[in-house]
Amino acid sequence: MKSFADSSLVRAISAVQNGIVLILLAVIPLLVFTQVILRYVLNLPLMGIEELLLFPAIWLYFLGGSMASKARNHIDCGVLVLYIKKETSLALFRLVRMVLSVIIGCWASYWAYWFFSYSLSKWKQSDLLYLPMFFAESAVFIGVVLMVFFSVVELIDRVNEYRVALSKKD
Amino acid sequence: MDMLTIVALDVVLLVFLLMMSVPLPWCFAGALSFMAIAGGASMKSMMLWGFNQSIGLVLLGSPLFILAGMLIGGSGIAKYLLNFVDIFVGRIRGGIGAVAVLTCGIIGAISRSGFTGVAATGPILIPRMVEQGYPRGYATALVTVSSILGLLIPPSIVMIFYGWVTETSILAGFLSTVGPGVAVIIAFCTINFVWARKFDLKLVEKLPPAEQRAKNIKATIWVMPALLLPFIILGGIYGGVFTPTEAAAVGAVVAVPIGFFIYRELSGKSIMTLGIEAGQSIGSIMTMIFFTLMLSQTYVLLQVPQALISIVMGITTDPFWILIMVNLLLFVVGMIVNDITGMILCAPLLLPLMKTIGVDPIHFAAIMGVNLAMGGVTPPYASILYLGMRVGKCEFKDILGPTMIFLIFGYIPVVFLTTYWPDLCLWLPRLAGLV
Repeated sequence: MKSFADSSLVRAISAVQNGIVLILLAVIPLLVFTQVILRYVLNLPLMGIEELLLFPAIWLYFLGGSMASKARNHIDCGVLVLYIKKETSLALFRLVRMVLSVIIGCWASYWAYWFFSYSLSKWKQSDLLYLPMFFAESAVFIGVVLMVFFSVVELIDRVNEYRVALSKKD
Repeated sequence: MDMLTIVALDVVLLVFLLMMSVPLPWCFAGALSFMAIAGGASMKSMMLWGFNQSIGLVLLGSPLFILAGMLIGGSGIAKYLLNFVDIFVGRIRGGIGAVAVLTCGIIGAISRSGFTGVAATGPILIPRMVEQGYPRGYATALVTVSSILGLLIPPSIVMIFYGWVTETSILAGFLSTVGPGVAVIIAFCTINFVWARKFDLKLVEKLPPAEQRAKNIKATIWVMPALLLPFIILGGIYGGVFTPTEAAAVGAVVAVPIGFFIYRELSGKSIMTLGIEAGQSIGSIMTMIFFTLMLSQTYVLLQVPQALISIVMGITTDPFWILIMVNLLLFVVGMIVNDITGMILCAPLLLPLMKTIGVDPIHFAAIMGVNLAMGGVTPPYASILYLGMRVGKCEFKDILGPTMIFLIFGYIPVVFLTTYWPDLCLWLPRLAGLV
């Protein structure tokens, strides 16, 4: 049976965020590099590049976090897994781990949503370029929600894994 | 419930979530939720504060260093570095062990990561060492523990975070771990030369002088572009040309043509793959930092550092014993979380205590740096050790013994030297006029 993690929805979201992150990874160093060349080589410092940088940077951080959730590549302290030998126990452990992750993620999403709404209602502008900060601040909510989404995708896989382990035991 | 009980319960919850292998961002978010629910911390002000801290330009240096490190690590420089270091120590008995230590140190300066040392040199060096008669467990352990040098030789990413959370000089922090890093190199090389006598080693046959000279010149020419990178980065930073963030960006931009046109190991496809890996690493670290920052700030707002000072001072006022306690605490923290998390969580809590007993903040940067770096090879959170086992195709039981010998007789003495001999860490920052 095809798992939800392989569905076209998950793959489409993943492809879009991979593409955006790759663009951000090219844009950010090039912007800073341009600033270095302008300042030190051409002696023409460009005002506002630092401020401009915070927009791609914050999106990189949170979309990157979501990519790590999709790839199940977040750093964790995975030592207990090494000592669990029984397949059912291991499957149960992974299931509990993901249940905890999703519960905490939902709580974090609630506060990220609060921040999103706050940002939308205040519509603050950046100091120098007068850019709406909402376009940076919304990255927190979107990133956290995507992280929770991919955690739920993993949770579904873990539930199936546990069911399979139980059926093998029987 | 009083505040200290709440904080103690929060730490218990955090350790539980870590032990359950919950991804680190969620571990810290979980501990933060407890502080918000049970401790009454205001999440509204935390969210605003956390975001404002995360967009700092100083912090951007860290992701850019990660990107540059991945690009340069993927460009195949390891084999050129190995050939270069081999010129100096390769012919000595046990020399290839010293090659491993020195190469990991240089790779650390180029990639600023402990993982790159194992991932880039391990696949080449470990089979070569095994071929020469070293036991596989020993070879893997040596490459793995030497990779810690990547976290000590500047520019070290963790020092960006220390400087940022404690508002001290990042440049001084970079230089503070040079002395301990060199001491670790000397200690590991010495242990290796002594230990290597016990192995039945096959030495590489000596080449005719003309042939050897030609080989050395070729190895030196090929390594130059790779060595250019730390020269640009460190020279630029300490020459006052770049900020650390700008140096990181220059490193990332320059790494691409070096890997693409000179070493020719980078291709469009491999850059995409490395970019996606870098995106995941950056996201994983930065989202974790976002939540860790807020958690750490709740502790600071609840005056945990002050409570910590009065508790410790109630036990002893002797700086010697206080430093022992702090070292033990950092050792345990390093065992359960990675170095960046440990730094963000502990630096704001412990620095006031250190100032009270007269420890210089830059000296404390080095103490934290060496302790937390060791965490990468001490289980349960021993990410570098686990990677080393995978790269070296080695069982835990085979690598554990040699790793412990290197740590106990090589690394831990350096931790003590760093702690009780401040000049080891401060001479270079003083020389640069930063302290």
